[in-house]
Amino acid sequence: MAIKDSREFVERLDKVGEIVRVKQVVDWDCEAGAIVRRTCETQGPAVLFENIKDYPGHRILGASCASFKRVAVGLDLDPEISIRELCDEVYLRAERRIKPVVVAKAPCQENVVTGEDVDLTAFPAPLVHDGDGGRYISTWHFVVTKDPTSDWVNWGMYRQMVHSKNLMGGLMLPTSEAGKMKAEYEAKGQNMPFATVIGADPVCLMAGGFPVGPGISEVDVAGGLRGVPVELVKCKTNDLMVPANAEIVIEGEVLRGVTLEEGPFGEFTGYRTAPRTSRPVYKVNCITWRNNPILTMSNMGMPVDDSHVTTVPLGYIIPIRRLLEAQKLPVTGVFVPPEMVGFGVIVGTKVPYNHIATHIAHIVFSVPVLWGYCSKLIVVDDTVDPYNMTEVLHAVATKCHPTRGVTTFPTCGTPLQPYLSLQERLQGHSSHLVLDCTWPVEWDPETEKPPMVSFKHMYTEEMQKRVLENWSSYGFK
Amino acid sequence: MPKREYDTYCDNPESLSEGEAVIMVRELTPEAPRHKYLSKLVKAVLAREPEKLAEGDVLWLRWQRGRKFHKPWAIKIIEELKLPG
Repeated sequence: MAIKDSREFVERLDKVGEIVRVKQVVDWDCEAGAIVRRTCETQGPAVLFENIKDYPGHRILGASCASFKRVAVGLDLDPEISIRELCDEVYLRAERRIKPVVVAKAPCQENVVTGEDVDLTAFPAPLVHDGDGGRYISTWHFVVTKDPTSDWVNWGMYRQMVHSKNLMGGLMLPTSEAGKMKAEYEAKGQNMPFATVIGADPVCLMAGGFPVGPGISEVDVAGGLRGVPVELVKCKTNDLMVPANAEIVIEGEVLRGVTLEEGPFGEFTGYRTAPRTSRPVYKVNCITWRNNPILTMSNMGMPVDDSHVTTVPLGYIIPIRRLLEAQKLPVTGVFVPPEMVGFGVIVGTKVPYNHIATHIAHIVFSVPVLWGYCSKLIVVDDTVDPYNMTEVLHAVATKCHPTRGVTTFPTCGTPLQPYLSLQERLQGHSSHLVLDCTWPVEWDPETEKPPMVSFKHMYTEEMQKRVLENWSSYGFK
Repeated sequence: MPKREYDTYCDNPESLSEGEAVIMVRELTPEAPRHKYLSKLVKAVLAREPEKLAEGDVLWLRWQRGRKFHKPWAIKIIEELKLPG
């Protein structure tokens, strides 16, 4: 049964021992962030802060999706499912999109403030990392925006920092879906309406970070992932729709031609790369919330955190697999390891012709929503399991020719890529890298292609069978 | 009465200009704890040596990626300006 909201998700995590409820007072000023970061770095459980300094009645849920096990719980799957099976299941479900349904009354509108009564400081937005540019109310959430010329509604995870009682700032790159929509509104001389959803059910939150592609509404993908439609309710002050069971909804408009200094912020890359600079401003016209709301947060940084196990390995594969399958390439698997933070993709393939690695690269790097993020591609042949990092690293070390196996070409970059110079970050210069870890097709199997030295390849089937049958009698467990 | 404290981000704390300027600061010691870190756009006088601006408050400096500069400056806010929007 699909999980209906953050509260049910907390209960489910409780049942499998994947959450700690912190009852002592915790400070929103760095302490909550430090705890969430620590649990991410130790592969610890999720955390629900039930007693936040200065904010009685409010709660913060951190690291709720920072492990594959908790993601599986959120998707109502076996918590022990393998990563390959989880990736396959997410891809299949995401591609069977289900339209949402609209409800008239919603828990997320139990409390409503508008206009002069709006006060973002009434919510326990954490100072996530010491030195961050401000209190980030939106770190595990999504921002709803609508294409000005079609019915396409985009959900995207764009960070939001509190400037004042009714203003927020945030990074919204021009290459992002919302960034492109904002440019269209601006060309018409209009502000862009938005709704920020905090504390939706886990699947909606995951889908909000998935780069499913232009023209595809993440709410339909969330429906497919859940197996039942998402229930939406109309916002109080604009026409956007938001999940009815969300904890907090912030309604307003992204102001045309207005910027304020925003950032820096500790990012999913594991660094604080982009400098503080002028960025878009969100004016808040209304806030709605449930009683005793749960503010969901992520502490992005060094792997592994929520983004590394949802957006990266589960979200990125959706548009990549879709395009590779459309081209009928003999792909055996696609994986975006959490440790590569979305900057690198591994594709396994059969090798019917030379340079299939660059063929795959042109397709993978053509995924528009990955521009500027995903810059490295490792292509392995079908003797390598792309989900097994030992095998992949071995292939990089032994099969990738340091000259012939490496291809680079220029592309656009983002301020978030740590390896770029400051000038490259700000001007959008970067490169793509392809590591071809396949043997050339023309290599003779007897004289050029080296045989693999492994249990499977070095012994007759008879010998393998004998050893396996006697394994325990040799004394092994 | 203890001095109020603010901070601001800059390209290089070593080469920040002294004197009057319009800058964005964050309030670090507000009366309401919930208002800590809110943005303020101010016209202010800045001084590298706090003793040169005895009536000023404390201004901490941070590099653009968040690292705190070891030595605070002084700030005397002349006027708080309205944030755009």
